Amino acid sequence: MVLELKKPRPLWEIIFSTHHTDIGLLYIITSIIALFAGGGLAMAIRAELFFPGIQVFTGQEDFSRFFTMHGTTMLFLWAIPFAAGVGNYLIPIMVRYKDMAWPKLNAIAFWMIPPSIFLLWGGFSDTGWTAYPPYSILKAPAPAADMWIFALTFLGLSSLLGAVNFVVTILKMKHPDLPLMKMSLFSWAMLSTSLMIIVAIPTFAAALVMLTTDRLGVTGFFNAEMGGDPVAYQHLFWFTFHPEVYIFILPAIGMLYEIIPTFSRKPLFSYYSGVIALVLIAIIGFGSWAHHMFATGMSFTEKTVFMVATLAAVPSSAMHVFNFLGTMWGGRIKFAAPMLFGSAAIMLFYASGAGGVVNTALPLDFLTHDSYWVVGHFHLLLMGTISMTFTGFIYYLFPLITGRMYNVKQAKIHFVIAFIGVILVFITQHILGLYGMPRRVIDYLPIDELTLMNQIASVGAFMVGASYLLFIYNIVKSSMFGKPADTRDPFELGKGVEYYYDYARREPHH
Amino acid sequence: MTTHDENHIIRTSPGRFLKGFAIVFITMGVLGYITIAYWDYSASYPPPVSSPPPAPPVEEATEGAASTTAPATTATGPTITIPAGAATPGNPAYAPPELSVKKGEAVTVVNNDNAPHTATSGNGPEDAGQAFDTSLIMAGASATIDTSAIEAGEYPYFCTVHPFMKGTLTVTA
Repeated sequence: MVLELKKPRPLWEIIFSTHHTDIGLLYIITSIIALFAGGGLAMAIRAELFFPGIQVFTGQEDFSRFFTMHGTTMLFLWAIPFAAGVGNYLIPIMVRYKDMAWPKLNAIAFWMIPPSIFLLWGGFSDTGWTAYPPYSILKAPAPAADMWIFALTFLGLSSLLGAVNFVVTILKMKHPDLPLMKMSLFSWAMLSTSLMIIVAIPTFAAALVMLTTDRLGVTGFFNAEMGGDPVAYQHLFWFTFHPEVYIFILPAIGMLYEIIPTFSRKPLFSYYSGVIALVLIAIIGFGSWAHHMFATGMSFTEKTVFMVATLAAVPSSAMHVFNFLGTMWGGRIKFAAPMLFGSAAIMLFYASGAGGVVNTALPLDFLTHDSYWVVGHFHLLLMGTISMTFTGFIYYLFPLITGRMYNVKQAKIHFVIAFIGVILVFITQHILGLYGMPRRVIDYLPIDELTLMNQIASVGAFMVGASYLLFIYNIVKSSMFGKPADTRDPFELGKGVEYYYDYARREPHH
Repeated sequence: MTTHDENHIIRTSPGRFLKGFAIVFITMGVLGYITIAYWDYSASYPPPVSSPPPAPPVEEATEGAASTTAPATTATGPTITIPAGAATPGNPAYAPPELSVKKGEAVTVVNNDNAPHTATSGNGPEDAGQAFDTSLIMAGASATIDTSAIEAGEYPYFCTVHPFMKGTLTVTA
């Protein structure tokens, strides 16, 4: 997996490089490590919930710290850095420039992540990944919660710098012969993602500063005792993190636009609708944040507005799905591992999207609020759609990065186990939520139905965990001993497929 | 597009890979050690906003001097103060926590906190109020415990609203 050249460079030269493929690789490796660290926490959480009562943890405190770090790690150290890494790797190739616009800024953006990891994991905060006040300002234990706040500030800054770099690279460093409307859809996805990051993140950064000063007792923005409003934090938070949902999903959609036409051996069904949908969601995504807060006592008018705005985001997501289906329709589809993961992601995207549409209906939202329904819903998106696509894309890029082929059979076994596991965990969690099981609680009532469904979910989670162990074994072993890949057509799609990336670009030119 | 590389560039040897693994695992080991060794330390202090305010002067209260204590009242005689922030577990609950008075003296309980409190004799709800009970003292208000009807002895008391607030009142004959 370590980047190779005609003449091998020492490792430290790769680690401290400013070349886009090197930094992209560092991003990808870091995010894969984070995926496994966060996954380990998830396994512990599911082991605890296998039986009612308290077995694995000493109590709710440790459980809170585990699910907080699970959420934070998966969202900020897996989903975002992986997208940034793939973007780094491919965007300069796609827009035909020698590197990112500002290579050193790119390296700085990456190197803000390791200190954040140390802050996050050294502290192991227990605020929940949302860090709602009043708990986060009045009660959350000191070093850990403050470390969490500072780590998130750094990570936000890191994504901002990365996003600025992407926007400038795509818009300004694009080859003059390449019009904007001929650019690959992955570049469009990274462009709209980056623009969303630039608009969304500063709000959360401001909220984090307010949290810090509130915790010190200097200010009382969110401290009701000092005349502040805890719900104001939720508005600031979700103004960043509802768009963040689209920031997570858009790179995945861009990757699907790479995978689906390739393995369907057909041109894309509709390029323009893809561009329109990507740009549209980047705008509409900012109008629906308060649907996370229907239970905080908003007026009926506000709730209706945000419900309608949420529904307005549906068509642009559906445009992507129809685009994928239209591309696959009538194609000679080759179900290699990336395509398997991609098509599973489309299916689960539909399932999680449908759950979200139902959930935004006011009457249901009050029933499902803070229940396992919500957990099942967003995990189905983040694991079922985003992580499945990312996994598929790791397989897709594997020949480009290593020059070798992964073990095809093991990849397919990985897919089957992971797919069944994901469905077992997260669909069951929807039903658990409808039975009224609250999220973030270490224990549940020893009712047969709850116990059974939790056990199904835990078994599914262990299947996913086991399949990903097979995955890491496969990519580690294959990158050392795998069969050398044909750099033009590593997936043996045959003639007439002009697609794979410029292999020689892995070599830094400066 | 530049030309494809005709020769496969595959030099990822196990040795190089081991070096990469070493970097990753040593870093993770250091981080894991920090996390586990400081597991309790890293989540053990309440945030500054809820940490205890400076303790009020207690000497005057124990001596029963009527000079500068208890801003909310003009009580003379022994005084128990409930300092600001007492409703948070871990903060001082009653000042002084142990007070000794002569039988017959009236003890004034001043609530300087912003939440209502009580001073109720007993160790908990099961034996609450058998000797004395101030009932609810609103924020800023005060109440009086008449010790003339109480036999000499040591009486633990607590707050029925916040049972973690505990103190002791000793009545001497």
